[in-house]
Amino acid sequence: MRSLVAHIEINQAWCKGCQICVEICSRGVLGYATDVSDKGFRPIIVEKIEDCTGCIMCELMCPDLAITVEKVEK
Amino acid sequence: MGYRKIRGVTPPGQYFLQGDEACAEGAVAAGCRFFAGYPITPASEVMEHIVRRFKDCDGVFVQMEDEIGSIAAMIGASWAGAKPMTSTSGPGLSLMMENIGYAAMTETPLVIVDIQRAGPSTGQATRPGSGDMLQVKYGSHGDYEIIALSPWSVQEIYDMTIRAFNLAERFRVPVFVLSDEGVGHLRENVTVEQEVTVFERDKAPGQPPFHTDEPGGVPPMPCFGDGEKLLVTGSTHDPFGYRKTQVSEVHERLVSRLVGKIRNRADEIVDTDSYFLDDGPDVLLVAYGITARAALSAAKVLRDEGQKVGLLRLRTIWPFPERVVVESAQKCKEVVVPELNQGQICREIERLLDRDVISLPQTNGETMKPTKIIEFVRERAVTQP
Amino acid sequence: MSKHLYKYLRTEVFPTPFCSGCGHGILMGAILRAIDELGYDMDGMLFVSGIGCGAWIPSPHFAADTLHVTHGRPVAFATGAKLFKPSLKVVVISGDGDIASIGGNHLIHAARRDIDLTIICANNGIYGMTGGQVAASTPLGMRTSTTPDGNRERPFDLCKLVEAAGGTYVSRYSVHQVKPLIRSIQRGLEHTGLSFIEVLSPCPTQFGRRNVSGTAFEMLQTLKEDCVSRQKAETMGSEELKYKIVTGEFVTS
Ligand SMILES: Cc1ncc(C[n+]2csc(CCOP(=O)(O)OP(=O)(O)O)c2C)c(N)n1
Ligand code: SF4
Ligand code: SF4
Ligand SMILES: [Mg+2]
Repeated sequence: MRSLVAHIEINQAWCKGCQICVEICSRGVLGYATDVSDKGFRPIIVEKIEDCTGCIMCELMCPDLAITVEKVEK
Repeated sequence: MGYRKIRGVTPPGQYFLQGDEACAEGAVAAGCRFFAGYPITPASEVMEHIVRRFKDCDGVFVQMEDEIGSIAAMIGASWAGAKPMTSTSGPGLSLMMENIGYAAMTETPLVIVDIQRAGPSTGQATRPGSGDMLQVKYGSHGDYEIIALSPWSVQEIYDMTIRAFNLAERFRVPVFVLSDEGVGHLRENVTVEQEVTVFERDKAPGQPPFHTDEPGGVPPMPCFGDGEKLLVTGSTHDPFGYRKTQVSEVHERLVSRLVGKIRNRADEIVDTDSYFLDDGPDVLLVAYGITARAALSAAKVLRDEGQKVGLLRLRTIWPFPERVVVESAQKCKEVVVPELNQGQICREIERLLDRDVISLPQTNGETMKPTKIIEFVRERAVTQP
Repeated sequence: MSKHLYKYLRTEVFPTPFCSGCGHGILMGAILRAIDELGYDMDGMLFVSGIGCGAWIPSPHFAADTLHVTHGRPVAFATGAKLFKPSLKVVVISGDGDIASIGGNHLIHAARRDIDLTIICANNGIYGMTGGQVAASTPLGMRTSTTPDGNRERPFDLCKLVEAAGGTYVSRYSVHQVKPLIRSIQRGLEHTGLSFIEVLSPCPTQFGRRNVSGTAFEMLQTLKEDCVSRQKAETMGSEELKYKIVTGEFVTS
């Protein structure tokens, strides 16, 4: 396993499931949960953190300030 | 905080001034240091004079792109800590209406000088009228209260402008100096005193700016830039300014307080003046502004003729001097209301008194002559026992 | 580092009332990042906004002085506050309808005065809050609730307007260009005089559903295809540019 570059935290209370973060990530790091939340959408989950480059595009493009990408200390 | 005495910026003494100029002098004396305006006859001289006076006292003047901008800039400045003023006339007042409601809703102190001219529309731009008496109170949408004062002389427009600032700050409400071209362009002597009584805002850090536990009370007013993180909005809001546009009780409570803080304090605000009322006259004249001068002359002449005529002069128009009007009219046979409109204040009086009130309207762009009132009373009113 | 931005927010009012995928939220983040990177103290800042979805970006979300005013008038309110208290850093954030249509005259005159304000116009090309009516910035041909057959009126070029009126920092970016957008907001905030930043901000709910069948992300993609940089535009012919939106800095004096 590659050493982790970043840690991603999703504020589920603020996320509205717009999917921008999932689509914007060129590495397919984020995905959807299988279940549907009580807000009516499939919550965003971190699927492949090991592929994350820490570019923070998902964080910058999140309209709900719901994503925090933190670089992992090496 | 609250009322205190300060030294005026104008040296004490007698000055021969125009009404508009005296208004500007009163503003400067009361601590007005922000003026946003737009030219309009017959109010421009207020603006021009204040520009001259601001040079001596570091006031901020801006000529805005229109009257909507003027009142908007005043509200912004008021929350930044200013005592702001503007001067206008009918057409400009009409443009300000939406933001007058905003000022009432956000409890923003403002002084708006309306030197009334003959409307509607551009009407007779250079001539006097009193056509805005109801507009200042009812012109913006929704329920709210404002304060309006009506001077009849150059001295009085000076004094009343000072009072207008104090009431605006004390009640956190837009206050109108509801004058007319007659007074605005009149030239008379004005006595300027050494000391001026002014009301200073209570900033009360940390207190809710839009609520007080005192029923119908006036909350303290903080200002921008003091780290208070203020939320100011014209939408329905809670005590700290958070929008609560879907909560019926919050709206009900807010509107009731905005209205109540003025209505419940009417006795502190209302100010009238009376002549020849002691003997319970047969005819009561009720007048205000420039027309009250004609009414007083008429009353004197009619008294000399042996007719029992008295005058009640309304120095406050809003809140309406209900109690004084009812009391003064009690023993009179007739109530006559001469005014430069088609009976705006007459209807207000009719609403209060359980009987007919005689309107003496005039909308020809001229000030009313005493003879008109004298002849009317001789012919129309029952003056003999 | 979104969480590092939470200190600038009244977190208790979140999540925002914006629709899922609304560009105004991306812009909100960009503004806060610009302020954070500049190290500004929000206590010295005043945010003024009018009425509309865009106007909700600062009010009540930002933990600073906010003045949420009547529709179209934020620039005039801001003018008064700034003139009376020049130490305040005054920022206007509002929609295209608010700033450029009903409030257009105040915008022109603020630019003429070159007053020290930063005006950020959240341009979604539509009246979002009132249900998707045509705006003065709706592109030609677009369907709205009041132009069901497509808009026939030419939209304003807001940057040209402000430039012509005398604004001294003028730029346009789309929210998908988030990094240059943040830089531009920083420049606008640091600029002395009138800075105007037009931000193309997709409204999936009112604009998207009538014009592009797709997700918020697809709207961002479409916007990306429609935008060309100023440098690129200089090499293109007018026919080629007809349906393009030029982005970049236009005035930096
Ligand atoms: C004087 C006035 N006219 C109309 C309205 C209704 N109104 C509320 S928001 C709005 C449009 C907002 O559009 P925009 O500024 O582009 O903001 P958006 O919602 O698109 O972000 C309108 C017309 C109003 N509040 N006040
Ligand atoms: S930080 Fe970049 S690489 Fe990592 S998940 Fe977000 S968009 Fe993908
Ligand atoms: S209507 Fe449009 S602009 Fe308004 S919040 Fe929804 S997506 Fe955003
Ligand atoms: Mg819009």
